[in-house]
Amino acid sequence: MPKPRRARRPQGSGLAVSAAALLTVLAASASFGTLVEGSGWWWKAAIVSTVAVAAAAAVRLRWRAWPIPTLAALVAAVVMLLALFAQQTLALGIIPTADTVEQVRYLILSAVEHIRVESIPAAEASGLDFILAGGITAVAIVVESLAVSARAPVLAALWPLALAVAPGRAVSSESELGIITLTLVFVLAMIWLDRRRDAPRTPLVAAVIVAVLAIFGGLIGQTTAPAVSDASASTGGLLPVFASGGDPLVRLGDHLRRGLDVPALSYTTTSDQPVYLRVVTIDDLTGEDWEATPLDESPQGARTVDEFPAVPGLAGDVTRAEVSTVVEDAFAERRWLPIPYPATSVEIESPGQWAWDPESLTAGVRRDGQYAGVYTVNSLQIEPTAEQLRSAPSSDSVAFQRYLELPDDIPAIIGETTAEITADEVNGYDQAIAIQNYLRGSDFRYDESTPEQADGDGDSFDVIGAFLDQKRGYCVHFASTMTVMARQLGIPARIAVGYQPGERQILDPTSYDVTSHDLHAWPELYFEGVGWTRFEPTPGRGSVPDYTTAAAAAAQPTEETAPEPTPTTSAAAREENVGGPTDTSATTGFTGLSWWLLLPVGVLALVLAPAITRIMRRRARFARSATVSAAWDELHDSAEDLGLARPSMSPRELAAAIEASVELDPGDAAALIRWRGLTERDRFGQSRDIPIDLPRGEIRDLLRAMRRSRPVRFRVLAWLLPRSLATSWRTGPGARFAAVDAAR
Amino acid sequence: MAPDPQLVSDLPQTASNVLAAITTVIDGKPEAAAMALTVMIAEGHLLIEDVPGVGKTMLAKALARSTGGSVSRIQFTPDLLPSDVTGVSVYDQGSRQFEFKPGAVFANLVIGDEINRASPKTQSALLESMEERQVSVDGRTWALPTPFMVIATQNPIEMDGTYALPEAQRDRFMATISMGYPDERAELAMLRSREQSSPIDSVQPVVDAEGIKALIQAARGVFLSSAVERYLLAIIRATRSHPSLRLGASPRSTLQLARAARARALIDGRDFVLPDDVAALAVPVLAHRILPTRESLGRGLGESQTSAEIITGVLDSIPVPRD
Repeated sequence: MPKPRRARRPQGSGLAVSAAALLTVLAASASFGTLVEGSGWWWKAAIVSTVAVAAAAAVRLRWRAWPIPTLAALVAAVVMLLALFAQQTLALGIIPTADTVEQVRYLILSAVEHIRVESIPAAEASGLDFILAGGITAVAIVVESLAVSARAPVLAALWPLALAVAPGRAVSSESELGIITLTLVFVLAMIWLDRRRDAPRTPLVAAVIVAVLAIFGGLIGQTTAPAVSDASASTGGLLPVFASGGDPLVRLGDHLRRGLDVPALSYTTTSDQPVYLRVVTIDDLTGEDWEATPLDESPQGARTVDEFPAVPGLAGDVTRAEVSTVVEDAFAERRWLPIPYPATSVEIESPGQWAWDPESLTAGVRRDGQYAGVYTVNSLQIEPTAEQLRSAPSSDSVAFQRYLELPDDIPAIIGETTAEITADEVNGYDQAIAIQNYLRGSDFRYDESTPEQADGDGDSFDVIGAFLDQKRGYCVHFASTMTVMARQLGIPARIAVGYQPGERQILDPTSYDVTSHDLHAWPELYFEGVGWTRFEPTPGRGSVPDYTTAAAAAAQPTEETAPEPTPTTSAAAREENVGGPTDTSATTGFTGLSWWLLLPVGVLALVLAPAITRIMRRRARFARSATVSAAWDELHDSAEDLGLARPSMSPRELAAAIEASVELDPGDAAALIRWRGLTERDRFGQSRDIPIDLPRGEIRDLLRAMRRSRPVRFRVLAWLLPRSLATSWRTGPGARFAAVDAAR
Repeated sequence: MAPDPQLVSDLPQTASNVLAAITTVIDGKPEAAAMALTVMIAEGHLLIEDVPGVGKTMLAKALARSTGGSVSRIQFTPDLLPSDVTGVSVYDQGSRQFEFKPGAVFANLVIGDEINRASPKTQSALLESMEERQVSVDGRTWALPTPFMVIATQNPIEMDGTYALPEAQRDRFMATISMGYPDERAELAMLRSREQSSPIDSVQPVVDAEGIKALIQAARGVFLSSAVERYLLAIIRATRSHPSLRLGASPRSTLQLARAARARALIDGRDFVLPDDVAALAVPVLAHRILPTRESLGRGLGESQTSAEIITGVLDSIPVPRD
């Protein structure tokens, strides 16, 4: 029995509810911590939303009528956001200027760019902070207004619960549960505090039902999220491929599987062949992680990229062509320059920042990440003949020892397979061709998802073993397998990581677009006199070098020798590969940050949820078998939505209220009275629940007249946020629909 | 016990005839007239509380006349004796026996004017016969006629020379109403019509005692749905735990509210009770039975006004049943 407390607490301004609403949103927003690094964004959001909610609460003490408190909160939020993010552009520290607008525009654009390029967890950036602070504050204002002004705490609770659960779809983590629990506690506190105000509107049961539904929804959402989420979570999130530390090969797989294809760079080349852009090499296969060969910078200053050293191992008689490639980089920051091998010089804005590595001929940054922008790489296009490669002397000198090292305990299957497929070959080059042909053979299938079953993304020998067994994998597996096999045969080998040539631009055949899906790994084998030579063991990716196909034709005429598709068709080839039956990740996964794109859809769904619920309820009440009493409920709810009626009214009171405020023509008025009498008899009379042929046309006319009598803003509000939904929790949906059921 | 449909369809007409008759006398007070008739049909007693001269007695007289029953009128004074009300046994020399001389209470409709001016002993004599519907004198019991209804009028308690009715006694009245002043139009009409003669003389009986009995019988059969029952109980129980009340409504008031609601439904031509009936009767039936706390009385309003306000608040806090 609710006790009226009007006499003792006539006002009940709801300060406590405001505070609970704020805490609810702040707790829920902490869930974004799994998507964004650091906590600065949260503090900024907390400051702005606290100020906004405090402003609303303070204004409400004096002016209770909506929308004054909400407008006050909006103003406070804008002022606070500008003060935090555009302080320097404000005239006199408070007045926005044209610069302020420009700054806000920049912040939003940079945030969008940041989200597009970054992977999870996204690095902190002021644009991202701005958007998060603004968005969280907007939710806080909505929740506070709903809970305090509209007295609809249950409706308000849906927002923070959705906020807390949403990021769970992208990254599942243990901390999520804690955040959801905390949010729930605050939600219940908010509803409980609302009930302590005068004339409570929400029963605790309703609150608990909402909470339980939200949690189950969240958990179900998490468990049914695409498996890809788990994959990216298991490798600790999607990190940039070429960041400092970490294993580029592991991250490469994540990026390939990621549904979102992000432009990486574009280039224009004078080469008549597609260009492989190498970023890093991996030569140490003995460690726990296969890390990129670090940049050898000693001695400082001498190795500036404007002039590269001589190409290791390249003798004078090998055919070569000078090639110039202009690269336009899409990334804000690079630690390594994507350049073709072997480069001779790089023309870049600040060449002093970049240094080359003498052995790998990679170009890395001297300090922290640097913007590469547009740069021109001059390189050599080396075209050795099969004979030159075949006649290369063994290069097992001390200098190449590190390119031959393998750990002792590698799986036996690798050695056995190597021995088996190269049994007929004695020459190093022929052995390499044999390996490449074996891996490109029809037994092997390109598959980006398979390695998950084999414990992670291929940087251990166990993974190579599993790969040779299952014969499924992607570039990383093919490249590392060929490298290990070459080393077992005494051929110096290393793994190069970079981009395959990409897609040729339609309008300019010398230009190519490269995206994150063009990330690639391939083996480089060393042949004395030719130097480091690229092989392509991965089927369907990149292009097979001429010197390997020609030799293959000569040595093994029966084997497949078809030249690999040119770069223009590589995308199509890739499509074929990812379309395989076992590969689901690349097409289904909303991995990475693509959930950001789902956010507007989710918000829209959330905003429209009350309206949709209301429409469904209306249809149920007008259903064929519905009673006149259910139809009366619909009239009552419509009147309440339009602000014409209180939730608790007898049919008689409601009819009187409608007649008092709506101008009805005589027909409608008579229908209303008749309908009222039927409803009363149906509800309170002795013989109840007799299905009565509903005067549907009359009812529709009446509803229309009611709507027409109200100003547009009431009608919009009635549609978007129907008040009757909050009320129906009181009487319980079961009770409301009992009449409908009984009539069936 | 469902009433004969034909009878039910006639009864509202009877009721409205009575109302029309009363209205010719008391212009502009349809609620008071309807309330009086409701209480009569519900077999209750009515207490009219107001300042002198607003037509309390006139209302009672009009009701009595239009229903055609016997009427008696007691003007209560401090020296009125209980036997004046109930009657007295007198020794008859001729028959050599004690003979009972019925008091003023033996009538279909008893008008007790200014009941609070009588001594408590006399008051309780009347109230006892109201509850028992019989009179006991010298060990013998005489039944009172049917229908039997007391309409007592009372000046506001604050006035001088009055003995306020104790709570227990007030509980025996089904409803309390106050007349209030007539509006300007009604008062002007009254001023003109009274120039010639008192309109009370022209009131003709429109129903007899049998007709009233039939109405009473029909009212008992009016259907009270469980939803409305729960609503009624919710209102009663809310008064018992109300923070502004020292004393909530008694179980007797539950029964009386239900009876009154049935009667009201009947007058309105329905064979079932609406929540509206209960809500409309809550203040008249309950307000005089509850006791507000001192704090809630400290706001300058009279006791009856404060009580009425509290009951209204209770009504606002209890959702009207929807099915």
